[in-house]
Amino acid sequence: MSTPVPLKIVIAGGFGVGKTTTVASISEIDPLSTEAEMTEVSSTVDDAALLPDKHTTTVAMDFGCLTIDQNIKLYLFGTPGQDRFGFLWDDIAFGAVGALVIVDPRRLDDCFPAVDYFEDMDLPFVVAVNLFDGRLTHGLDSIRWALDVDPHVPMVTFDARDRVSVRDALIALVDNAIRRVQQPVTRLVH
Amino acid sequence: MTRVAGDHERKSETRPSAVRPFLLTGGRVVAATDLPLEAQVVTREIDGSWRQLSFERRDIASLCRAPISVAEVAATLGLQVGTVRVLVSELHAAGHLAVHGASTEASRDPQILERVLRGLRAIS
Repeated sequence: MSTPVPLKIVIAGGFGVGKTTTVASISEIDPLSTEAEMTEVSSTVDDAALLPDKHTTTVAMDFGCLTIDQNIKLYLFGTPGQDRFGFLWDDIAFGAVGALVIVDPRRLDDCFPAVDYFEDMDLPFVVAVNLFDGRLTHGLDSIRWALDVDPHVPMVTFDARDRVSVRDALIALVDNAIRRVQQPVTRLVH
Repeated sequence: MTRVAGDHERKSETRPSAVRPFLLTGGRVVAATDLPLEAQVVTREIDGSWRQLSFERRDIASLCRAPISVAEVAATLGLQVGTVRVLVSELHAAGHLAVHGASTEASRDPQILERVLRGLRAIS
């Protein structure tokens, strides 16, 4: 039996934005959960003075899998969402095709850590606005402005509960990853 | 918790294991970049010597007779990813397991990404 080439996509975003739902909608296996080590950036809210700047903590992580063809398996890893802590997702993001940053249009602030992280990592990502109630009260342009996302980062709306909708968001991401490989983005240094 | 070799149904969803991860690994750690979560692990069946292993090591070898990711091994056996990384790299060094995980290059290969695109478009 030949061993498949494994690829992975990171499903990121704040707490409760629909990461697990997204993975469950499209995974061909029931989503699995395991514990992974994360680098935790100490919050100033806690007793940061007594702690080093960063330390490793263990958090639960959900993931699913898709068989792309005979030789390619695609894994979807949902990064744990935390409100007050910033996690460094190096373990999950290392070698990834890219990331889907899921956004709840009512709580834009929650996705800032993910957007910042993937911009710093220079990893292709797509901002996917989860339409909980089926419509968007703000336009995508105003969300882009509010998040201060670079113009080359695609933004899509989707429904995390809908398989085809999740598929389309992943297609937007892989499409972007291909363009990035073919034409690396030259980022402006301010 | 009583540990039974070969019992893959066991999961630690409801309560944490009383066995600390560093006891299973002898205090060793393996860098995430050496063994990514999605790396495929498969047991070498050449002489079936993995059957002589005990506890978690035997569970892993038994589970990986078909290729499976590091993350799936951890989730299925109810072990932490860090623990699985150490045990898998140890079993790999001992020749019981093969590990394939070239995702860093594959994820930047336009031909592979085009195949992923085609595969996703086929989903309905």
